[in-house]
Amino acid sequence: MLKKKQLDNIQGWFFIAPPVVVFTIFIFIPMFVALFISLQKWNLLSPMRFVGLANYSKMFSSGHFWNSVMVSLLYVAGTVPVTVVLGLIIAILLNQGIRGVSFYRIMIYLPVITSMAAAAIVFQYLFEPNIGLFNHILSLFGLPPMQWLNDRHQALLAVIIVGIWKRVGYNAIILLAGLQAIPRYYYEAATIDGASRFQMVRKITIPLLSSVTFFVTVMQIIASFKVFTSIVIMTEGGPARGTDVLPYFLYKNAFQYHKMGYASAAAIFLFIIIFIFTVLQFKFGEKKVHYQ
Amino acid sequence: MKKSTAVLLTLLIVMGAFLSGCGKKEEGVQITELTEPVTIQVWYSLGAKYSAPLEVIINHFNESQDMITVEGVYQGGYATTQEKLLTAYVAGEPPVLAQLEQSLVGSFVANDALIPLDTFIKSDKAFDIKDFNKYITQGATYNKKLYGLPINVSTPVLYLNRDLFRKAGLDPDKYPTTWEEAYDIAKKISDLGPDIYGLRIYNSGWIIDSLFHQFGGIIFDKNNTQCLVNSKEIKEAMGFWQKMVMDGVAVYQGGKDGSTMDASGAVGMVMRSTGSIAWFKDNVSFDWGVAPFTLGSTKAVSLGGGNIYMIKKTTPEEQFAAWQFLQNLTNTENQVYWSANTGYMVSRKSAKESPEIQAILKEDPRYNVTYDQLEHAFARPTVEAWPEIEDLIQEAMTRIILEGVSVDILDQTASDINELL
Repeated sequence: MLKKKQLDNIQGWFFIAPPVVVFTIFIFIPMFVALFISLQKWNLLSPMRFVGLANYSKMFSSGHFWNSVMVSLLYVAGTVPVTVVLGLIIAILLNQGIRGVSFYRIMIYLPVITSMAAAAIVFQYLFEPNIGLFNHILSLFGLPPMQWLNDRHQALLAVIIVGIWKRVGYNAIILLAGLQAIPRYYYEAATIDGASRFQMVRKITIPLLSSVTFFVTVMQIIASFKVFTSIVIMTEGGPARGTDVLPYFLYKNAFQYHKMGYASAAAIFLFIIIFIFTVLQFKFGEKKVHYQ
Repeated sequence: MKKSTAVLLTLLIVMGAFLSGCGKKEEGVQITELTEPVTIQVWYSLGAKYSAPLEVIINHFNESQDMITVEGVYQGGYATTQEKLLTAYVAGEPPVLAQLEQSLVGSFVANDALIPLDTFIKSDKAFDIKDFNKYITQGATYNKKLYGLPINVSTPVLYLNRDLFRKAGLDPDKYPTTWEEAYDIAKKISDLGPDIYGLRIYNSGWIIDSLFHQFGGIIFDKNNTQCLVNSKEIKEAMGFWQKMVMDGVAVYQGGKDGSTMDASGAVGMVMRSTGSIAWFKDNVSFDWGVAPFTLGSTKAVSLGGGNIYMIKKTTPEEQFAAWQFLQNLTNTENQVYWSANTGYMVSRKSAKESPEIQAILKEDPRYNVTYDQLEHAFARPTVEAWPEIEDLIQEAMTRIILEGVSVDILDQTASDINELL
């Protein structure tokens, strides 16, 4: 006869079974398989051959790999500060009791739920050098036209803009939830003390929001390291590897060049980067600031 | 823990690899008759208006008999079809027939994934391989064995905007025959205005392979053991294109934006596939002509488009059915129908001589150009690592042309490529 506690336990396992099974099949097993493949030479068609750490040493001595690391870092550096700061500003504005606020919230969140593939195609037209909207806007201000996706350096800027457009709404909504958790009476007290709007934001909002900001920043860093869809559709990593971010680099090596071992090594590298930021979030995110 | 997309993708591949063990079937067993109905798939990579005539041929074949049902499946562009075929092959469930682009066959040949057609051809008395143009079938011949039959074969031809020729004071019937003449004509046209270019160039693999050949260069040595992209000839070719762009005579623009430019009438000359004749007819309002793209000291154009191949890991019944369909698809009547509806070349001599094709050639001589230059056609390299090699060459070309980097970066490109061979 099972005791009640044991029965509860079994029941509990049943309840968490679906996510555990999905996680195991789609995350844990592939993770270890990738680790295994990263030690092999394999072109899909012929049998695998164990090569030890050769893929890693080849990777770390490859200029193309370091170019991808650099491009990924630039993409992260370009997207993270802007999406977080802009997200914060938008969140503060949305937190005011203005008319039609839910309409604005929807508008801000719309890009998040838009299919990236579809949006990327539209952006391709917007970035078109001769007839695109963005160059038209530049010309209204008397600025020279840009080459956007046709130029190695400007292409990265273009995909960063798309990345910001896509993610800023998500960050704003999370930050908004954080804002609404800050008790009103702090502001009331500050108003009585004669604090200005700006002072209140600086002395109350930002410190009390720090744990949420930290969370948003880490999530944004992770998301930026994983950028893929916009790259595939808009630039295919080009021109001349100017937008060859790590996920695209490993996709290309795996599915176009059929170097599965090499690509898996790059995947493990990317995994470690993302893992570090996840650990950071777990370690520091929880115990930063508490309101009560 | 955060997942990475790549890890997910890897799982799919590995699952495929496990399954492939179970899916192995006997190969090369010849049968002469079907005892029960079979359904086979043919994968192709030509969308839009090109798939319609193919589907008509398939339907016609299905209705003509009741043992074989052919399903045509559009799989996306050339590269996508190749990727999907590879995945399906590894998983042990490939279609028995697939259309592959000339340069993307390397990995399948190197890993013995294709069935040579010679045995089928020998046993089929009604099928006469000698009726096929030998310059076209060379594109599907590896190690002296024929692996595929041509479907949408093309060569790059030069499309001319005759209105721009006239505006620039040029005779539209005098097309360039050397790169120097091409430069002079392009110069006069580009002088018409800041947004007008004499020539549009781009780094599509078969176009730059043609360019290199025309300057006397080849990408690989005879046995594909050494890469020669840093040869004097290829550096000269790249330098020539670089100069054309630097001088504002040519524009370097590929892809969709390139087609948009062609249609807008801002380009005097552009080299595109034979099959683009249909595109020009639909999208262009100015007076346009077609000229041979055999510029340069060596007359050469690369063979483009695709062939249909028979894939291993399929049953003898499927292969038998596939051959029945394949010889139906490439018979004279269907080639004429396909060519008349798409602009692609017929590969059978009897099809070329047919009254229908002769009438088309007579009515619109622009169709003749590709046949006339066919004797200069060369087959694309079938190196296993070609997709990566092509990317490396294109990358170097983009930097040379757009950033004005010296052609000497090709030394680095060649040594990178040599590591892949």
